[in-house]
Amino acid sequence: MLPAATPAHARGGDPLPSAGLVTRVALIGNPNTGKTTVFNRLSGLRHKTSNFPGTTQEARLGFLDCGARTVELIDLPGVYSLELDQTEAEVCRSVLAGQIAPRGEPIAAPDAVCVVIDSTNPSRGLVLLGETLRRRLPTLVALNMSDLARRAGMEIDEIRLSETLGCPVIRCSARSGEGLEALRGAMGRASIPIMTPPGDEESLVRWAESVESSVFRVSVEDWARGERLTDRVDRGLTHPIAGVLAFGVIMTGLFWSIFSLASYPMDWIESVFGLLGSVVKSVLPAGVLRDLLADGVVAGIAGVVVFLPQICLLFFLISLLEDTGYLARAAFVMDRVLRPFGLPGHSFVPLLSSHACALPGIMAARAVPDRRERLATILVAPFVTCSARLPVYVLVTGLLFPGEPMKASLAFVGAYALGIAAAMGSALLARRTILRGPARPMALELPTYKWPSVQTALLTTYDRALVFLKKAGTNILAICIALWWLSAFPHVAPPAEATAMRERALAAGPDEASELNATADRLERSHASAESFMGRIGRTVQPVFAPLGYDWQLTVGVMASFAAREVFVSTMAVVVAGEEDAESEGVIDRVATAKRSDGVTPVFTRATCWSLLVYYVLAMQCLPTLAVTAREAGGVRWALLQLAWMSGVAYLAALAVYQVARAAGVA
Amino acid sequence: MSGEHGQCGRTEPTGDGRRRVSLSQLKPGESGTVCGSELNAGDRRLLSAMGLRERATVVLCRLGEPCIVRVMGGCNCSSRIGLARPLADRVFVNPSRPDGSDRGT
Repeated sequence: MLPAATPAHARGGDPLPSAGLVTRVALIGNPNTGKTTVFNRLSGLRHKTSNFPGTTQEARLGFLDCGARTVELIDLPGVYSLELDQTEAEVCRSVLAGQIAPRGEPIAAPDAVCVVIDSTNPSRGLVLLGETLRRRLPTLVALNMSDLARRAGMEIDEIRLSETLGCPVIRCSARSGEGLEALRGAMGRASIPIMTPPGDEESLVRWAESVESSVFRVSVEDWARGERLTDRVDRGLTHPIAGVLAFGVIMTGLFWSIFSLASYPMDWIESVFGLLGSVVKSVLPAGVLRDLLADGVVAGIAGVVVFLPQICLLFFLISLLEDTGYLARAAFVMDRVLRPFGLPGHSFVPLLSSHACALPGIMAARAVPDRRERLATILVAPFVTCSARLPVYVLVTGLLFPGEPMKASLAFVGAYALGIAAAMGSALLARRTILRGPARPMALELPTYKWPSVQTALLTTYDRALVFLKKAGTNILAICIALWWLSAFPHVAPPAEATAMRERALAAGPDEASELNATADRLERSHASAESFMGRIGRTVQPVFAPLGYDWQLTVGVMASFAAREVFVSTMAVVVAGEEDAESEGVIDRVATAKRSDGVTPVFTRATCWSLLVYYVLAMQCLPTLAVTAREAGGVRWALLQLAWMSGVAYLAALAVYQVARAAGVA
Repeated sequence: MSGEHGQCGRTEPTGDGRRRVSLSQLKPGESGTVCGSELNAGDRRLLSAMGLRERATVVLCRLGEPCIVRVMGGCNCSSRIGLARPLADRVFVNPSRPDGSDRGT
């Protein structure tokens, strides 16, 4: 028998939990039992997310009031067995043994365990229950999805189960809310079981089978009716051709939603923060504080919040799809497509989502069960073309093929294809080198189809949004402020040419004066940009980019957009055209015809454009992505590896393209 | 499943005259009783925890890569597992007799 752990309430020799104390209850269950829905419905918005120390396993801690007692609920990872050699099982074992606790919480065994069992499929849950009972902790059992079991014609004798175990057993449905009050009330009544199931696997399975047959009853005919329906739907959704088509349609809808629907709130957010920036500028006197608040802090917060619509929409839709049971089928269908590259079917949704934005894509990689496969997915996801690359693609393909939309769109498609090829190739390489290890062969439960719960989806969305804002958002804000500082300082005197123009404007007529002042403004902005720390860095680094065909102006564009790719076009507008607004009339023309310092050679030759396009497809030009990678992969080293690998691949590929193009006589 | 079952070869007759075939050799819709496996310990433990263990009754729903199998529980209910073909090849079953006379509960 396993040794009894020391419960949290026993710290300092306390007796059993009493009113006024915090009672820690661990929530355990198989995957797909609705355990997290139980957690969400019990704790509502009163929860926080951290991780278990030494692991990347997420730890969710919820709080609920049970009379005078506050229950601290730990949502443990879903496991099929406590004895498996998997991180999830190891975390569960360690929490129950009182060896670890969610980061920031005192280490102690939980005061009680709540085992969540899927009433429609109790076999596996009962084995896990048996393993948990052997820990000799006060236990209670939640028979979840009891509404679905009732609909399937199943009879459940929970009183008999309670008498057999000597623990409270509550029938509930987290989706409908039925029985949750009873479950909440029972949290304080968990009791040490009166029996201990056998320890060896074979005997434990026999014990679970005997409990199952005595407590759960359903007629063969009733059950077969539901199965026939599932069979029919599965025949379509997992068919090698129809399944892939259905998958394509559903994922196109998902992708379209993130890409298109989210653009409205994103535009609103940008407008609101743009307005806020203008207000700050008009209220405060000119100076460093005004610039810091308007261009650093407000723009930085906007840079964080602007990602929220995509993140929220993605997780809301994914949660709905997961709840229906379809997401498991999608992973099933895509498994054979991604396996040759060392990735499982679960990686498809993160990779697809990354086409809108790598941030939600990387966060969605939590669905990949195997650690190595999850890390490989996170590392390669930013290779696929995200929406931030599009302005650069539009500019460069427009420069390459002016007035030839067909050729420009083919170049566009080629850029997408290159991103996907780089992601797949890198995944294969990673899985054969640093993330080498046996692929976890697909053994995936396909849950029964059911209507999704909007409430669950909203709670999941809220949780993901909060995690993003708290953990990644603060880093992104700091990065934005640092980049603002590099671009805005030091302040330099205006160039002599601009000063002379302003003097001439004083003596000129109104039309000519206005034109002279506008030109002087442009010259000053170009000069300030060139003399800023960022401009100086660009000029210092330029020799590194010279073999790729970039002059110092282009290098400043590349360096400034290191934080966010979309900054490239606006930076080029400032550096070579002296315009603040890249959408001003004629700016793109001025960028296209900009000359290098010699005044003769164009900045954008065709060879440079091809090199630049390849560079932007492959390079890691997004600091928020690195911040999220560091968080999701469980260490800064993974973000640094991602940065080094993507930058290295981008540099070498752009170098090869430029040199080959030059050798082939491309101007 | 009790681990390495070297004697559980494909289509070998057993002592009681019943065939032993790999799970992937069942026809779609055909059922059988799991009698052993040639899986490594980790995979065996995982499948066992998912219900695909010795004496479990299974029905092959879809043959392919991956396969879908239905694992029958003790109370007439069942669950579905998507299973990689290499795993299905290494799980062995006694196919049920067409008249169903060998089926348990």
